[in-house]
Amino acid sequence: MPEERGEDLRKKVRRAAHMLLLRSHTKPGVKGWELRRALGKDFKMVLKLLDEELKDIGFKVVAKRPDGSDAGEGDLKEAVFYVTFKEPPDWPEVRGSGWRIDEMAALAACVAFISAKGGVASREELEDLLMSKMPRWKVPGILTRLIRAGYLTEVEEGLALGWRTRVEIDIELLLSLLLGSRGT
Amino acid sequence: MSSQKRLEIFERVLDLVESVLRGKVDPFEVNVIQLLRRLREEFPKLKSWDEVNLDLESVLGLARIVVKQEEWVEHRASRLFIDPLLVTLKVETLDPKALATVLLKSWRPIVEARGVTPTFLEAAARYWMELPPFSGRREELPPEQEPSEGAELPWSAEEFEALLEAERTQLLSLLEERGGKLRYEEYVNRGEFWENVKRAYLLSFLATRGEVSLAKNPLTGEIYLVRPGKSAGTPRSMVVSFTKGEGDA
Repeated sequence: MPEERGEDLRKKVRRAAHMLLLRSHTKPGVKGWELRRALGKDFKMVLKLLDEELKDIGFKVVAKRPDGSDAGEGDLKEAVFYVTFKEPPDWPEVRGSGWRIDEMAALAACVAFISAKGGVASREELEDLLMSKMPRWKVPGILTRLIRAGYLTEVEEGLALGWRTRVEIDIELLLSLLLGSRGT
Repeated sequence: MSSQKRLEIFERVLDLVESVLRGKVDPFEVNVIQLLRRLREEFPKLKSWDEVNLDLESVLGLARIVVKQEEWVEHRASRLFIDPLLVTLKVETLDPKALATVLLKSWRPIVEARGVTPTFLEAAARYWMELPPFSGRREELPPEQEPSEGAELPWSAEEFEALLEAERTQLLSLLEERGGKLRYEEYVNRGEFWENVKRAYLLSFLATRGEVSLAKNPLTGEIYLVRPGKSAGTPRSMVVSFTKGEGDA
């Protein structure tokens, strides 16, 4: 009996990994209720086991509420689950993934500025901010790319933080690192 | 108070609400209590449904300002509160590499594999079955046109750049005079036909290079030339039709 249970759990862990890693919707991530339907009542335990497996290769399973905050035990069904890096990536990994330094710098500046403005900043303010660091002609293209990737989102009042920023970036840490860093 | 005066009050309140929601006015600069008192005084005198609707809209708008005030207090009290000016100064003093490092240290990217899933295969198979044969689609294409002899540009690269620069200077000074906004048609159609074509052609290059932006009024469909980077929304290309009028040679 315990062997059968063990085999069943292993199958479910594999299934959970496939669901979380292979994108089946337009956006990555799987909703808690979808995982529950596919994995059964013990889906929380399955995800915990998957998290243990992923730890060794530097990834982890995270559950986020729709507003981007970490989901608690009580709202796992409504939460969206993702697999993310456990630690920040290294420079070679980032370079290999196609990110350019000026795009990363622009993202850091936008996230910090929008957060400081209380969640929304006008497009003009962000453009002015970025133009202080990079050629003017580059700015609209970079903003468009960040919007398309889900790091920023267009709202009535201007631009706000997108779903991907809320999942991937520790905003509080970013702000404290920005304020603590020394200019050149 | 006359109906006209009441309408003015409603309009003023609604404009104020719009400015606050767009972030142009600090929500705490609005005296919500005084405005609500004013609306309350006027309420028994309302004469038409239009006035009642405007009154309702104004009250709802003021309620949204109160929500904004609450959000402002919450944000100031949160650990995330930092003066935006401080962020701007920091961004200006750090080089791009240092800024990118700040992001890197607080970043845990999502891991995802993109591959063929059963859903994707199903959609692909459906698309393939519904796709008409290529021979059939090819017949619908218009025959390719050979470029005519006079199709080459009449300018060298240097001449073209000089023309663009002259056009840019002229346009920007005109925009400066008109407060940063100018009707596209008014700017382009002010000479002989081929002069106008040339101006529209040069403008398309200036817009692509980000030297000028185009904005379209969604209600009237009118297109305006505006200072670069001042248009709202994601940058995109815009098709502007150009027709030969009866009087054009």
